[in-house]
Amino acid sequence: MDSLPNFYNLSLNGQSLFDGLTIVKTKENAPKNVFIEINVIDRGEDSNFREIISSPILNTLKRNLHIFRTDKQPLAYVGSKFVAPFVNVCFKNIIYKVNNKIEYEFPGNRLDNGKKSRTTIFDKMLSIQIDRYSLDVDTSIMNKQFTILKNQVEFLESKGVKVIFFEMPVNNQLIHLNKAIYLRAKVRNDFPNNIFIGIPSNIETYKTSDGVHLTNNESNIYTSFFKKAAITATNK
Amino acid sequence: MLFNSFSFIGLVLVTMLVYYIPRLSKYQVHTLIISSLIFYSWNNISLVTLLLISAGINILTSYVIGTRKTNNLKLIAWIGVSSNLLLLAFFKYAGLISLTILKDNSISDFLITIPLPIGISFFTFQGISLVVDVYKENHFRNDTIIPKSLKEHAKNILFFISFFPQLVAGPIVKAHDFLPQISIKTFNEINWEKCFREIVLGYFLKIVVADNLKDFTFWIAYPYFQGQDSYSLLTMLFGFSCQIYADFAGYSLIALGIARLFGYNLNDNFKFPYISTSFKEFWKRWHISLSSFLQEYLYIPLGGNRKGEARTYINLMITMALGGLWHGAAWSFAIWGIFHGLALAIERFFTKKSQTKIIPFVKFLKILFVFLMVSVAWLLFKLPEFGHVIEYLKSIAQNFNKNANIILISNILIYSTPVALHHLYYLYITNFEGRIIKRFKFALYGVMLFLIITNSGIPGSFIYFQF
Repeated sequence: MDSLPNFYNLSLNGQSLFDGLTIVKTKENAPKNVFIEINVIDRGEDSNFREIISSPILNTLKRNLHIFRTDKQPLAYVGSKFVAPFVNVCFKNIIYKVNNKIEYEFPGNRLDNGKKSRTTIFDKMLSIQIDRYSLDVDTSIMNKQFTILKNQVEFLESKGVKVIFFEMPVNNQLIHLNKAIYLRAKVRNDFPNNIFIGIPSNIETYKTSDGVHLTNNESNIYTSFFKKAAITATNK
Repeated sequence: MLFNSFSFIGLVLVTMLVYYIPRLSKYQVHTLIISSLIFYSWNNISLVTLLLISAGINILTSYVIGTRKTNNLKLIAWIGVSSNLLLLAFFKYAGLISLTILKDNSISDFLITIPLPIGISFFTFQGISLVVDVYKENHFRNDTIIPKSLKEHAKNILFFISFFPQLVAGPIVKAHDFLPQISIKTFNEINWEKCFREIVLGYFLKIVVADNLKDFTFWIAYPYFQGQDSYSLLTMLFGFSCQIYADFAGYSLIALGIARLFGYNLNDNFKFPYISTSFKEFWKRWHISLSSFLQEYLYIPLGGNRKGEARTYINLMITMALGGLWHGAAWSFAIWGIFHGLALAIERFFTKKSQTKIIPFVKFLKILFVFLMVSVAWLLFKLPEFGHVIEYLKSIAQNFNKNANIILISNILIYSTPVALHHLYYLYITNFEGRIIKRFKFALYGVMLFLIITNSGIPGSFIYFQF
């Protein structure tokens, strides 16, 4: 997060925005601004995660004794200090140096090295996302999620937090499908007084590895865009 | 309620406190029933209704048979067994049947939405065991087990069906093993050392090994595994085998240890299955309660091996296919069962032909072969679509030119090592080195306890909860 100083990224892998909000709610000092990504609002809260975060015992232990943190746990430490170097040495002579490990997407879905096997993987991932985004939106689930979100936003705003929404860029073929259109409209409708940072106007130039996750290069480009948009939004 | 939650630990402690108060000793069974119902209803109270209905069916049918209230004992037994199977079929397989036969219509849409009550596969099987044992009287005389009072009988059977350590993920307890144990227990009778060992080893396998491994094997998901290198794919395959063993064996050990705290001895459910030199041996070591249930209540009633060779193989295939389907309402589980059935059948055929003694090196190769085949079959648990399993195996063959994921491989190796060591210890326990290790077993348990506290993974549900 060195490109976005004073920002904390609570978009944890595999978790939902509600899990990030759970973390915010446990903090004694509320942040000034909270930026909420709208792309996966339909993903529900993880009750196991909430239990861990709100557990006074586990939380206190992890905060004060580093041995309880995942990367400092004894086996993880032994793994990183001894096992990983040993495995690395074992593989050293047989690892092939591969350039461009991550498949980029281009307009027209041609890939940079033209290898058929890589095209197949990317196309499969994109087609899965197209199917997901094209489905009819289950409005009952969405209404339930948005009701929970409204309560969370009201709670934060009552603590003086400014809540700003934003949409992460995804593959150009997805942004005009059912799910994306619905979410954009719903957020604008349900939160008319909150600022909404939309997708960049040059979305068609953004490359992803699987249709929904930006590549490293694109992440840096988007971070610059987001930084400018965030400064503007927080100063309004 | 997860076994590795503070609420569960609290429930056990409070239950023990009340259970062993001398003045309340005649209410011990009642105490356990109440705790069991709290345990089962913790996340969804409406499911208790189903548990009570299932218990009610088994109470009535076993009572009528056991006290000879009618001459139509066989009919009542059939009603009892069929009711259990119907409950299981409706809640577990209605969706699968509707998708396969009814295809897309309003009935299949409704059937798919029926929730799968947790533990149903286990407590319905226990109900079947009860009805059959009472009907056949092979293991006990009914007048020694079935009280004359329906109320007393109902209490015992509700306890047997709902006993919380084994309620939601086994081991499957047979009536003839459990019912004779129902009596007043005293605090002095607790075998503390055995309880401690089972519970510590169980929690270690579950929350240190399985919960950490799941963070690395989650890449066994279509189509994401197609981007992984062959070495990582092979390692994940190995890791998932260790994970499923640690998860299930860990849970079973916790169940055994907790049950023993209340004075009840449940049978071992796992006996180091990955050192098996044959599939037959594997099924004597893996999920022993299920394989012995299927043998006693399905394979033998079908005729077992007493009706000629052809019929033996058919009985074997039927038993294993249904055993596979028991695991889940998807055809991939039936395929998994058929795979094991075929392996057993082929093995039986060739074992009959050849009775030569095997040398240690060949024994080692056999262990490797069985482990490899079993691990490949586990893919059907992780990738329910058979086509995706084939894609996984193709990716292993095709992705050698990709960079190995060192972090992933290292982490899987480190967290799988305890499973490997556990099995090796069992293999060499009678050797000199094994006897040395046995003398320092207390230190091993100390290390496990330390790692349980400091090295637990993010909690995940027990894999077998979904069955």
